[in-house]
Amino acid sequence: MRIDTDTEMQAWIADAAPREAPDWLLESVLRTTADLPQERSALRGALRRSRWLAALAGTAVAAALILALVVGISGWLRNVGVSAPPIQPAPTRPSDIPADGGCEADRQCLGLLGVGSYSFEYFHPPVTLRIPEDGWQNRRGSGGMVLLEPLDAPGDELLLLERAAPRTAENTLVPGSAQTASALVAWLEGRPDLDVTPPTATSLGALSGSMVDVTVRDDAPDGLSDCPAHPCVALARAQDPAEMPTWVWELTVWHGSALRIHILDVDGTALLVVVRAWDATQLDALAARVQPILDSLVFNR
Amino acid sequence: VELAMQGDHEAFSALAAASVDRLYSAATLILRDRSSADDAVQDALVRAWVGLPRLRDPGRFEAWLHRLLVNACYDIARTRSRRRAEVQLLPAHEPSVGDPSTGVVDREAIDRAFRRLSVEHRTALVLRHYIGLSVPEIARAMSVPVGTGKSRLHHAEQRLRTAIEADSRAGGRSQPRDRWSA
Repeated sequence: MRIDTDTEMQAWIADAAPREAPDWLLESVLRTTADLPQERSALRGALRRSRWLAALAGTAVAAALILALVVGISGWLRNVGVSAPPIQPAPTRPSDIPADGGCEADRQCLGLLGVGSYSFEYFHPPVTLRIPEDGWQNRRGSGGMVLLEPLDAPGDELLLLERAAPRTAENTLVPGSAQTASALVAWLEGRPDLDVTPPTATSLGALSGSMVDVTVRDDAPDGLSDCPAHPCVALARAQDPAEMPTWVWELTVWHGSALRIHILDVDGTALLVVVRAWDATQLDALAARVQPILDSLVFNR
Repeated sequence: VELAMQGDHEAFSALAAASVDRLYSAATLILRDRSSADDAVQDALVRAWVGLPRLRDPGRFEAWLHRLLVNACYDIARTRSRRRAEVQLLPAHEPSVGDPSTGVVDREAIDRAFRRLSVEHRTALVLRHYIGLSVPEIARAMSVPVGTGKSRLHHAEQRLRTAIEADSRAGGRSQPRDRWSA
């Protein structure tokens, strides 16, 4: 097999690229920008008008830079040795999660979940659960994960994750780490950047393991730069074990959120059942809400 | 462009209308997700309007817009991947890898291989093969030195070839068979 990249790529792109943007997209941009002021630099206007002003402005900028440098250095000297990473407040709940049960783009899903039983046969091991009340949705269904979201609490999640393996805070491999449930529990307990409750025995769907609550410590070094809040660190990751992997999932926790993780043993691998509370103070309430779903889990081994 | 730089919103509307389809197509290819592409294009065009007065050379508007789009795609890709436990996967396809005897690669095989690339590599390929930029232009759009842009494009093409060849050897058996019943 060979590929003439130029030719084949262009042919594929001709097929894969949508021809047109949706009409509402341009309308939305124009509506947003209609009343939005542009960034204008008064300094640049002045520079264009006068060489004298330009020289003056240059001097002022240089003075300001020197002043900023002096103030910055003195501030750093005052704080050196005692400074902690800046802590941001817990983030507001996301406003961009649809609650209409529509599948994410290019995904298949179950959509809005009414009261009833649902089976996820792509998951390993296949799992059945019962939704006891309206108000949940499943916007994606594939690849190593089951995701259920309550419609009235955007950001809260119930996740089932297969084949979990420990990751460092920066989401790199943990050299030599075993990928069993007990190894993952020990790994989490040993993390200095996390607050982890003592493990308690748990059993869900006839699988046994341990349960811990996990939050990130306020003084944790920031492991990941692109999270809803900071500090933010990676916990675990998994990849499709097939010869040609088709999915990867990664689990993170950030300041202000909390996870209740059931770490279950499945034939020497770790299966996670994760209750994520966007607002850590709501973890117990969310856990109580999802308990009937957890009680209904049946893993078909 | 000069009118838009001076605050003429109608002039900006014309620029945006002329660009939006191309930007949307590029963002969809880079992010492989239409709703994320919506966000990226909106972000890039709104930033363009706000920042237009600071554009030094009106002749560089197109290149600048590409850079804004690439930055928006990167931001969205990062946010998307960190918001929660995130699955990245290929869509369910029937196995289809083309006919090795002809040397012609099936487009679905390219699609599967393309999805396996990093967002940076996808960006380099889209800028080259969809937008039609030169290597220096790609480097500017990706805010990297020319040498880095050249190697990124080279590696992207190399990885694409490797992934397609691996896909071919696997006979398309990597496709997920996600099924459920309610």
